[in-house]
Amino acid sequence: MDLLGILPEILVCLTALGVIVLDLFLDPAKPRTGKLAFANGLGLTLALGTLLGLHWGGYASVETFSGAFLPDLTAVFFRAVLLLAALLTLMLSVGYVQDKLRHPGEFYSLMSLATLGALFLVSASEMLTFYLSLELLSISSFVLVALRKTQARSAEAAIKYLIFGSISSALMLFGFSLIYGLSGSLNFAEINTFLHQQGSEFVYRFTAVEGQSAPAFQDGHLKIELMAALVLILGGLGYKIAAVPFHLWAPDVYEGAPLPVTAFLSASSKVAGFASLMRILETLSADVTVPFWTRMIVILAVLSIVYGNVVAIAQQNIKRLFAYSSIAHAGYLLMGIVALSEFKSRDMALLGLHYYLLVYVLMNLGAFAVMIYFAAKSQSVRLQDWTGLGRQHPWLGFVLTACLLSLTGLPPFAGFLGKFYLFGAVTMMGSQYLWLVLIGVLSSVVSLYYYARIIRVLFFGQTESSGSSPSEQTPPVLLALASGISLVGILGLFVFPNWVIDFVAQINQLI
Amino acid sequence: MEMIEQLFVMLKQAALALPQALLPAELYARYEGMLSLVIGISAILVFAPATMLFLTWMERKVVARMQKRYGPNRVGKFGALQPFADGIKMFMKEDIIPKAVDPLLHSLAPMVILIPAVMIFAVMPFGKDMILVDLNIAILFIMSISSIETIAILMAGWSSRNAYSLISSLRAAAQVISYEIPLGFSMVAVLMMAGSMSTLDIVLAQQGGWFVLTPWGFLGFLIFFLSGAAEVNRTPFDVPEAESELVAGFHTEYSGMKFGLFYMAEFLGAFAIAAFSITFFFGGWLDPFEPLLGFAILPSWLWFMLKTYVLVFVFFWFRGTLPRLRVDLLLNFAWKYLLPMALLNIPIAALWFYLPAGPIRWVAGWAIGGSLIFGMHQLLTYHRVKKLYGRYERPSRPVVTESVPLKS
Amino acid sequence: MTLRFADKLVFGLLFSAAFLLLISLLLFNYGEALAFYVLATTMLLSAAGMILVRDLIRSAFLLALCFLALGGLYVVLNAGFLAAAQILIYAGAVAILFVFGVMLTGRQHIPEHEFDFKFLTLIFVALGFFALLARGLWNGTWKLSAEPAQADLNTVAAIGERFFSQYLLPFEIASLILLMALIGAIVVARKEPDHERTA
Repeated sequence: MDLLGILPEILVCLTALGVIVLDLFLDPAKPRTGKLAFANGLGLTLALGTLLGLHWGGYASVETFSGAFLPDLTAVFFRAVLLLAALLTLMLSVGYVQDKLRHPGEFYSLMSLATLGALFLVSASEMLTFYLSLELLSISSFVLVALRKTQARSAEAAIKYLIFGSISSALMLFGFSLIYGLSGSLNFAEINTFLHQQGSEFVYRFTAVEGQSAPAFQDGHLKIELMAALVLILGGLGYKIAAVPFHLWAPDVYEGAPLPVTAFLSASSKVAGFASLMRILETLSADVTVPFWTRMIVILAVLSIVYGNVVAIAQQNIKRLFAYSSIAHAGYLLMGIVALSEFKSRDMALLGLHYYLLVYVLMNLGAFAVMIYFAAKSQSVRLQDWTGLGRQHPWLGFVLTACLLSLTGLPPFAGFLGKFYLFGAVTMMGSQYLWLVLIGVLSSVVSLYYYARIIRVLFFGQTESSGSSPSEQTPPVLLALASGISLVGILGLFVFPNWVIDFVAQINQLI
Repeated sequence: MEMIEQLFVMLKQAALALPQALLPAELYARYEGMLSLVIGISAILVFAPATMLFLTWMERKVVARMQKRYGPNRVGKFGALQPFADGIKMFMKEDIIPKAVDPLLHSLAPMVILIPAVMIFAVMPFGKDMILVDLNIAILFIMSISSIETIAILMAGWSSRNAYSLISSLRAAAQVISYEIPLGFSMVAVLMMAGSMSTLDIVLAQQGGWFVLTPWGFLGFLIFFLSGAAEVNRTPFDVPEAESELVAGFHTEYSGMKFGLFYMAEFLGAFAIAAFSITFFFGGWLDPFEPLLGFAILPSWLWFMLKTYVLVFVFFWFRGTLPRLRVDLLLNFAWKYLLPMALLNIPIAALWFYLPAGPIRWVAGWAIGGSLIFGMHQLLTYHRVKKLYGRYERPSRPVVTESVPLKS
Repeated sequence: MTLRFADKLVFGLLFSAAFLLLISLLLFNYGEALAFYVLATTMLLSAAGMILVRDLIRSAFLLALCFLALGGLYVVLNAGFLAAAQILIYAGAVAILFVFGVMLTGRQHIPEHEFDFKFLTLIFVALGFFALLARGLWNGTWKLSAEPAQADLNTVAAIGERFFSQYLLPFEIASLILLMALIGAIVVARKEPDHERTA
């Protein structure tokens, strides 16, 4: 039992509990969100500091808690990203929470608990812990979505999210139980060993015809029990990352949820989903299973990219637009997952996934920081109501533009490098997946259309009122800080990607 | 003495003698366990209705005495045959199924409520060597079986298509679910000290002294007994059957033997709670004087019955003296008083566990545990009283039974 | 009012199931197997009934019966702790909350579903999925324990030990989930005072 390894998690847990207790002792008549947000931010910063300090201090833990928790380098990276995402989300939500939410203490506490679930999820190395932390993340997200109780939209979104979420998690649990039944173990490493050693038993092999060589593993069909397990698990995680056949909840939930929660879902939830998908696929990778899941992921990736980008064109509501944009980005990231399946493209794919997820958090949360301010200004999330807002707030308009261009994948922003790595990884797999890259690139061009439309409305839209001159009002400090961090991040990571490259190289060396 | 002590065990042996004589040895060996179970089950199936008959008579007599009445005194000496007369009456009565009810659920409910009420007796240690099955999860068994009764109450309330019944059943379900929690927690301390969930082991663990004499045992007993009273809807927790508000509660629409079954389940529940209080906290069938005198005064099963009937008497005493709680106060009592107390009881038991055995444990355990219990009680009641009256004043009666003006 | 035919049928089935269970325990050496089949049949029938019955309350009670039968199956498998926990939590609390929910929402009957093409397609998809899974389960090579579970094993102690050693982390995360669910449920279900309500 290595308590030092989970010290950041312990700190986050204490933060969540502390905020709830603090809420109890504050005078409800006075504005109190400041203190609560400060306490929460302090806890999260401490956790992030502890995590980085432990890492840079040379602390490296092996599997601990009887194989339930594996804080390896990948996990350290994603935990840092998740804590960063939580901090940014906290910064951009303070104003909103103060104005719109009745229960600030519960909001902060639930967000910390959801982050805690995500933290455990990315470092879980055993199915029970994995499933339970996924539930911790999901269920607190359901409640967060429902927090604006007076709005019917919020309740509707929460119900949809809940129903989709519980069904998909039940299916995934069934998949886990099948894997457990086959391998007799809950531990990821043991399952992987099992699949490597006895995986060949799970393929229907055709008897070799005389004169021909026996068919390779790749030619046989997977047996139903293993195939079902893979399909069910991928389905459950596909729901979490909103990949296309499992995306149905995303637009409605993004629209109905309070804006900071939407930001949280689009950043933390997605990062946790992808990190856990990588873990699970690493576990389930053996000669027999890789061809199967690669085919499945390819289908998911193509559908997500095409569907997300095409449908986003028609959106007038910013939140829905970002829902479809996040679906499309899930598709790009899934391309990186596809490239994980082959040894020659693996390094590049790992780099792409790590880099893009970090950048995705920065650019998405940067965009949301500005959007929260604009939504409060215009009292609307419809695109046509935002006309001229960019001219009134040139700085924030600039940040939003940068984030959107980065989301499109244009230089000189980090989104470009991220897509470059991802597409590059798929190219390295050989000519058979070139069409996938082509679809990715073409869809990025499509995405430029709807991202640019936002920029056009912000800066060049016609306004009847005299809203074209720069506004006197300055945005709240924390919000500006969050957007500033994002901007620095996406610019800095474009110029100095070496930090991530070196880190991922370290991971690869260990593998 | 040994003869009387082992009376029922010998009766069972005698009952087994017949099949032993008739069946081939091999076949008998195979079915011996099964047959002894069947005999045990039959004994309980005889014992349970007999207890119920006696309890109805006893309740009427005791409550009558408390109210300066005579109670039943016409049928038989001291009215002793009254319950039989009532039983015959119930069997003879027409079984009315009102037109509007859901006939299936309406008829199922009385059966469903009786099954768990009788099943609980399976793990009850009536005396030395007198337990039907010694389950190693007996405590959980008791909890889970008694939770089934709620289903039956809801069935009865819903299927009756009667507003009173429905309200009563909702009250009952809320009450039972709420009180199940302190009930369960109060048993945790016992489980910790006995190191086993088996009722037999718990009784044997009290050979060195009854659990009720320790601070955690004392508090645990109070919590167990009160929550148990609420579980089986005894006064002062009988809001589901509050006759002044809800006619007769969830069994308003029942008549004849179906009503009789509800009645029976209720009395058996009260008996079971008393019996398990004895088992967990008062040494079960152990003879308290045996360690002093070196020999048993009374057979173990008689001790068990004596102790149990003392507690049953306390139940009737409650009925005769205490007013009924209001619903919200009832639930508050469970969640805001009993639950924190039950949680406090667990660390106190842990403290006791780690104190060295001997006089120091008794002194230090009682000093620390007692002051913790007292402090917690003050803390919990202070807030409540302050909230209700606006200022702190010591209530002249226990806070929970104080009648409070309804807030507008 | 007399019982309807369907009600009589249910009574008959229940009684015969109980009777068969008793007889099997008494007479046959393979009473365990028979108990298994009776309980499994009860469970499947009540689960199917829960979905098919139109009356929501009956459906909820059938769910409780299903949970009880499952608890019985655990007993057959010598998993006493699991059985008790199953009955205590599912039959004693979850099913009751369902009944509560149905009673408080007041809608007692599900409207008849139109038997249209979509419905038919759904049935075929579900049946196909079921057939696939059933085939996989039937033919699969499962890791089975060689020795059966012992009846007199003190499972409670073993489970407790596992909770605090091997499965400590999942156990703690589960407690966090419960805490979070508690907070969430209170926040969502709490009735706000009118004057504090924002538009």
